[in-house]
Amino acid sequence: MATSSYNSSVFINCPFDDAFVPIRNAIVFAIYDCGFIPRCALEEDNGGNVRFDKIQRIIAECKFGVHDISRTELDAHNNLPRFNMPLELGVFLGAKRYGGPDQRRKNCLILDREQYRYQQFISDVAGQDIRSHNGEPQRAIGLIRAWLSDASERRTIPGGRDITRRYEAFCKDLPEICRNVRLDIDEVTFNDFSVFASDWLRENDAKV
Amino acid sequence: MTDVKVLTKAVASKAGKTLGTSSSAKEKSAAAKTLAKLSVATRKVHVAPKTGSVSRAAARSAVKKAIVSRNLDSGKK
Repeated sequence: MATSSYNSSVFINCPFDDAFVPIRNAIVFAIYDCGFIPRCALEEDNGGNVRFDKIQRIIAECKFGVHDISRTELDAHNNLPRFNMPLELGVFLGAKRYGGPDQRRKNCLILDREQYRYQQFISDVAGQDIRSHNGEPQRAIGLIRAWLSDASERRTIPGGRDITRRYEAFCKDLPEICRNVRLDIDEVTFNDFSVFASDWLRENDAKV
Repeated sequence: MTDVKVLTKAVASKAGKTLGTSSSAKEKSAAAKTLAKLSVATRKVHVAPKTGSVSRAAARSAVKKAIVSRNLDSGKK
């Protein structure tokens, strides 16, 4: 039996490098503002847990999944590409295909930098819902909003531009929030950002 | 045979009762406003499931202070 937490949880599978932080933050904020809970492998920093076990557990706890497969560049250190995102997308699609009744209700959005680029490196995912954010946070917010509204059929989700306005207001407040807890912005972790975004929206009564 | 009684406003009034009337424009407008409010109000923003390097109380306080500070600044302009 699915819990309300399962029905509201969104697994975020995306690059963890600094260059992706603006898109990741926009996605996290939009998920909260739509009334859902963002989940990510970064939420647990427990060296005692096997990383892949942790990822599989979080995927099992989420009905929804956002998978960004835009990071195809070769790693500067070893000249090899990163395969973690396609692997986690595969686990999510596998759970949807072979899992129990709740897992089969999974729904995902696949994001890339450019439309149809995926056909050159992961063409087997053709037929899935693949959208392009062009590396723009505002566009990522619109895509998340449209997808969650459609996939969840909830009628309480605000419009993409409305969420974007709140996100921009939140970004203006973020440096002050960080100063108040003696953190530099580049020290803000996934969990810190999640708490700040969620508290800010609740404090503003999800309006502004 | 079923006995059908037609209750008029006057009869109802004598009996100390009121008859239902069709909604006025004012009532309809109030209902529409309530519905519009509900559609936003029922969107529940969840509490972040895990904390990071900052305690929940400290984060909440930092957010509140930042909002108050912003409101004060906008009041000055």
